[in-house]
Amino acid sequence: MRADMNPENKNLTPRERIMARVRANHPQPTAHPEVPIYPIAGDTLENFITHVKGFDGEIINTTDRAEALRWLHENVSTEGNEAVFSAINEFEGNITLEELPRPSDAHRLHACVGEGLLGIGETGSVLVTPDTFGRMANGLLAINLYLLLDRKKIVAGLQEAYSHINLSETQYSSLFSGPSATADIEAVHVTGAQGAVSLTVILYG
Amino acid sequence: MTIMSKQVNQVKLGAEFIADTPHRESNDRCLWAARMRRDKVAATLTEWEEMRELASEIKKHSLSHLDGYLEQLEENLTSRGISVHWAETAQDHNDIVLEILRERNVATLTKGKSMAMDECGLREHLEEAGIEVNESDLGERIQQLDNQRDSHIVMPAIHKLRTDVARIFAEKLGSDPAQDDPKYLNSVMRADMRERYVKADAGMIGCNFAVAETGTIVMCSNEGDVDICATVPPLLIVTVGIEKIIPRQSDLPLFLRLLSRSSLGYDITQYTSHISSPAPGQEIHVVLLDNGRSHRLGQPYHEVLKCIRCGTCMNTCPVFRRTSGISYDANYMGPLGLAIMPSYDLHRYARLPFSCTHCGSCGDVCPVKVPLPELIFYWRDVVVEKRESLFTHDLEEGLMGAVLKNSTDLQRAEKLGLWALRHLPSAVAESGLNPWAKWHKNPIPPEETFREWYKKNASDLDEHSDK
Repeated sequence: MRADMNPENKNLTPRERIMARVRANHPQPTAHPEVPIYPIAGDTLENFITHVKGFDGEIINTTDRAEALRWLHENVSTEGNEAVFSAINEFEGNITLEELPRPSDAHRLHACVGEGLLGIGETGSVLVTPDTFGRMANGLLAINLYLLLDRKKIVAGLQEAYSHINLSETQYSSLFSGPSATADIEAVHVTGAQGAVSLTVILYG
Repeated sequence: MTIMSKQVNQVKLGAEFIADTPHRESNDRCLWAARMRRDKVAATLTEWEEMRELASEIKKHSLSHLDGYLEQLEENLTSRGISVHWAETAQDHNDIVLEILRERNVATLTKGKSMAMDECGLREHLEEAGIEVNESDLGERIQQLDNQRDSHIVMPAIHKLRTDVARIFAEKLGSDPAQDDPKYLNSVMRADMRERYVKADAGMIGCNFAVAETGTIVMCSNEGDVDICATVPPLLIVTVGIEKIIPRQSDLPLFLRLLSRSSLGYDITQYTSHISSPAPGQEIHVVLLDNGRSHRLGQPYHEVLKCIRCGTCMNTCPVFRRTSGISYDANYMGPLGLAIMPSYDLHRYARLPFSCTHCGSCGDVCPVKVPLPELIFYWRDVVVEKRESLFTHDLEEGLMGAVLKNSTDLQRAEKLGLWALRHLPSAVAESGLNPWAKWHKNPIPPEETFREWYKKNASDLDEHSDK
């Protein structure tokens, strides 16, 4: 056995020893199977709405982007003392990123408004990235989330969704499926665990 | 001199839990509800069984080409500014993490639930070094405050009642001891953790999948805490067991479709997140953990490395549901624990493989087809062969080995059993030698063995089936 392949060789680095052991112990090689794209039953939009509600999210149906923005202006107040951050140009919040110098400052946010990149009918998930919220922490620590989503960007299933995502080129991305939740105490479902307490998806287009 | 660790007596610990009716009933009810939900959602997908098979095959492929995928993962992570460390043992893992934290003067951190970190005893190691570790998952936090092991890999405090949590939170977090509503208790946790997130110097998380092709860490969680740990503090440390690798991004949705449905019976977790590089101003370290995995890879039980930690084998196990995960006194409990813990410490966990009713349900529900029932039998053989077994286990293995060796011996044993059922006085047949009789009456003996009955009736049955 070559010295660089002997996992007991103390002169090797931990990485080299682990790799040597892995190589020495590999099970019989097997092929990587191809996974077919499975069809998703039902209407994609209906599935999406059902799943968002199933995860305790709220759906607002509007006809076009202008109406979606009108809904935001009428329902998300930026007049009071509660901090509202918006990452959407057409809706101005009352706090800026400069006023939230550290990610943890986002715990002050009462609401955060952004635009979802993709919806998934199978699960009611909305794809978000740090850009969706100005910074990822805003979308995690804000109490209430509002996500605009173009109906044309809703795909049927998870498999199709991942064909639209390039993980290697995205610093951070997440599928948000309803607000945060827990069932850790006697399996009692509680909405609003440590992330958002509410999530509203405003559909347009 | 080697000091032998004390054997875990799951039967005794389990009996203590069984005797506590409210806890036993709650544990059973919660876990069985998850299993029922799993069946319901799985039944909505006609491709479910095919997906299980494909997931198993992808995991087998990944494990049989692990060296190449580890190199690919490392290359992709480092090329985007993530530091990669290799830990051969639990001690190495803990030393690496502590060094990273000390170099950056970390005083307090928040930590998402990670079975791999628990396996290394990381929290205890850091706390001994003076670092404040705050578990961020509600169940895990309850267990941390109660100074008790997790009882389930997905629901760490599921064996507890709300009254237990109310008492712990009142003692440790100053909440109202008279209020045990889970919504109130959750709000106590939320408020307490918010303060801790703000002052945390670092975040630590585990990983559900590591995609080699893209160099991506994938986390699945419900509470939002894992994402907060991963994005809010300036420093993030991720522990990745080397078996967590999947080759391609296109494999990921297959596993995601199986994971949450198997685990809790929901279509997906509230947060499914992917990290491929640090945010501006953030530092990320990934610790690739071996701790025996590269050795297990070459062992007859290597398929246990396919496990994706969904916990469904625990939800379905009749022993686990009645005795709770606490009775296994192990990092991995239930059927998974039976199949893997002896590989960590054969002496300490020698009795675990015998805490099984052979119902096979764990193998039937596993989303990646880990052959759990076969692995449990494998470990029984090893335990007896290595003389770590109890006398009763030796007797059982010896007798069953003799009886099952050939069909003639089995036929004789059947007749002997029937004779014993008919003729042994109940004082003997239902004595302490037969634990079954503690809760059951022996059945009324039939006229003949099934084999005798079948021989007589086989021709009639064939005729009937022809019609």
